[in-house]
Amino acid sequence: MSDFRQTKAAFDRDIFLSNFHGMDDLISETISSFFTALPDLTSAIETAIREKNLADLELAAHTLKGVVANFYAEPSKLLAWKLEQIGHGQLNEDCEIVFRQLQVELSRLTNELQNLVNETKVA
Amino acid sequence: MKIASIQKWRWIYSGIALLNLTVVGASLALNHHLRNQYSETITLDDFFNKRLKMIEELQVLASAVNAPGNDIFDSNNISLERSRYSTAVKKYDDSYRQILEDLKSNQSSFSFLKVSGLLENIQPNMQTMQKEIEHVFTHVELKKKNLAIGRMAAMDRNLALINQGLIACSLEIRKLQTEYMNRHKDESDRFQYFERVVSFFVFLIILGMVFYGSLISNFVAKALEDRNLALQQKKAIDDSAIVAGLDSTGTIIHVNDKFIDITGYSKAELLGKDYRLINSGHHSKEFFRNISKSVSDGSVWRGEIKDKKKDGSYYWADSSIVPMRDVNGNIFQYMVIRYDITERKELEASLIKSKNEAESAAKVKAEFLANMSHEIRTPMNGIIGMSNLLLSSVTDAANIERLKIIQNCGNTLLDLINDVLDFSKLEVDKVWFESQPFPLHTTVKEVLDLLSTRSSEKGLKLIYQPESNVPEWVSGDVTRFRQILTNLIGNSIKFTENGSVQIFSQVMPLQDHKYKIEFSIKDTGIGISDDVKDRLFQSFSQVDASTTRKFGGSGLGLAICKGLCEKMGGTIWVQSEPGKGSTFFFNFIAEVSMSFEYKTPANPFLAFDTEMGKKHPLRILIVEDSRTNQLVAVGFLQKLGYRADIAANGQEALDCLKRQEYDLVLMDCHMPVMDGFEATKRIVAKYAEAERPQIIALTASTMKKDIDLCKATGMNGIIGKPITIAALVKSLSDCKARDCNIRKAV
Repeated sequence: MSDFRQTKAAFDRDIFLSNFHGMDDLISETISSFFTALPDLTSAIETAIREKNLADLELAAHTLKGVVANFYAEPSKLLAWKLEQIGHGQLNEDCEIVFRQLQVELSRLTNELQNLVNETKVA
Repeated sequence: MKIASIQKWRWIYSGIALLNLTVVGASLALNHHLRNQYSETITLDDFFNKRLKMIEELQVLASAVNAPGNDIFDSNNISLERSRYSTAVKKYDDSYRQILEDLKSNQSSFSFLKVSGLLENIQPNMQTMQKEIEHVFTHVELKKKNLAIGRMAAMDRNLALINQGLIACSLEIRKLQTEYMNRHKDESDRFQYFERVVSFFVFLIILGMVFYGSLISNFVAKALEDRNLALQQKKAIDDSAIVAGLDSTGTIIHVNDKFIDITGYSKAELLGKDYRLINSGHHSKEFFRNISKSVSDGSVWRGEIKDKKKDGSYYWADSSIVPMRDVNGNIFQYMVIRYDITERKELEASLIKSKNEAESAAKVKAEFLANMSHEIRTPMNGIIGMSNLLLSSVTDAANIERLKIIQNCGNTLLDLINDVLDFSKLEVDKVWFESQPFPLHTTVKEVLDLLSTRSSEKGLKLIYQPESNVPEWVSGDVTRFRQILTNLIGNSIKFTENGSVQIFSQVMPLQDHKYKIEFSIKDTGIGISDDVKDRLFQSFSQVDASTTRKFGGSGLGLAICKGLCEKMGGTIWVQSEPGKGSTFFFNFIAEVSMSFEYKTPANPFLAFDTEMGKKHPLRILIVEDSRTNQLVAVGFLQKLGYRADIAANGQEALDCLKRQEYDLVLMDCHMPVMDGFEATKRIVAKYAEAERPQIIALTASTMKKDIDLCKATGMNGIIGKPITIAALVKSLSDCKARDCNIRKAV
């Protein structure tokens, strides 16, 4: 599974595009909005982990999960879900490790989304 | 013996004792009275006899007065006779006066008036007789014997009259004596009757005492038996249970050895102390208040209590607190009987912990599996897709064959993965069922088209024969319906070598515009024996192990179909005979989305319609804290011809609703300041159903518990994230019910 994940896309580009029904402007605006919001979203999670505030961790991870879901970014969504469950007391995993994995996935996601934006511009 | 019964016998005993005392008192009174009666009778008799004797003596004295008048003729001694006469007269007079005074002095007690009168009546005769005696003496002295004899005769006549009067007196006294004695006799007769009554009561008392004595004897025997039994029971309880006795204030007044052993206190340390000495602090005050109330009312309280030992450690006891009552029914102490259940409680706690851990692990596993479903399926799609691509570019026959094997294996593995994932979702109740209109017959035909290649390869006929009243359009989950149908028809094709597979459908109307739609799939295959039918719908169950080897499959297909049918309000079963074929039946509950008479091809809002906002205008509020999600929602709504206002949290949404009416609120669930659940609760509380907007949850959590929570707070529906235009279209079209509001606003 882990071998596969390394080669897997950070988001399902086809489904994402089909869900927007050719609304290119909305796609660009949504991605741009995501890029703007991402530092605050990750920072909220990081702060909650640092302050060991489980309620804040649950809310921040849930919000991020809802945002990345727009891009059908399953790896990021899964990791955000894990953090949300840790915050809810339902999952007993090291949240810092999961957060580091999430940061990697979000980095891949932003790269791939940036590529998509660039392709659209070229086109 | 019951307290009421004891009271009864106490009353009976008191009654008999009182009767006994009364009879004894009456007997004593009777005896006293009889003794007085007897004494009085003797005295009275003596009284009357004495008076009679006095009358007799007076009669003798009267004769003595008369005697000298007669004796003078013989003696001729006048002086002697005169002297005798004078003496006799004096004695007579003294006696007469004495008698008369006696009679008069007793006049008040007895009726001696008549006797006195009679006595006084003889005095003239006495005086006449004395005159005649004087004449006799004179005539004798004058030697006139004939004249003297004449006077003597007159003298004797008066004596006779005197005697006659005295006899009358005696008779009168005897009459009075008889009268008084008779009066006493009457009283004696009355006492005789009274004596008989007393005797009767004495008899009754004796009878009562005998009867009561017999009962007392039985009672005592029973009491002794009960006491013996109670002592044995006490010993049995003391030997097996932890026992303490408390007075009505909760002070310990008795403890047995087991109580001392388990608490670690000595008897001296316990007796006289408040029972709260062993309170562990584990239970609430309410818990003890309930116990107190229960036992004060006279009920036996039973329950489990955690107590503290002297050394500070704890023990659990299965306790009964029994109120003890005195003979008047008042509670005077409580008996606490306990059994040490510490080991059991520890075991229970351990089991509960294990169970919770197991459930938690299973839940996390199930949720993880559900979340991983995409991850598991995606690589398989990659394998199958890549092998397809390779097939189109490879020309070497051997490699083509190898790629086909990869492709087949991939498809088989994907089917198995899908089965396992579906089954695991069903097990944790995570399968979400849609309810959207779909064309029933068209869907069946699509499934038949899909399977027609496999049936044609085996030369089987595939026939669909719906009853005429089965509707085309029904509301339900088309994917799940297709899944069940595909599985059952696929099975029939798989296990049938010759003949046909026929599909029948029928509809049964239910209440509230709902219908039970039933399908049956009849094949002419190998059939199933009776002993296998029962476990056919169980998980990982096939007819036998060789079936898996021969036909493949996970063995989950029918279990999944059963789970899906049940979730759709239906059931599934089979009728089969080995060698003759099988018929699988399944049904589900659905609403008919269009009337039978007016078949409309499709729901107009199901298609993508940029003019929807004009055809179906709504005032929409989006409540969402994420800017990105706001953009997406607004963008999609604009694409459908709508515009929407935005609130960043629940509080802002409430403020917006104060300012303006909305028909639809798309509410994010988790937000800062005020989340969507709280905001929905406040909207539901503040606005009547007809006045408030439809509230649709926007959430990235679509587990059953999340959906249940949304419904519980009053939300009307749910849209899972990521938001899709299709989901929006459905929610917008469901909001038709608020058309009236729009008209009102317009």
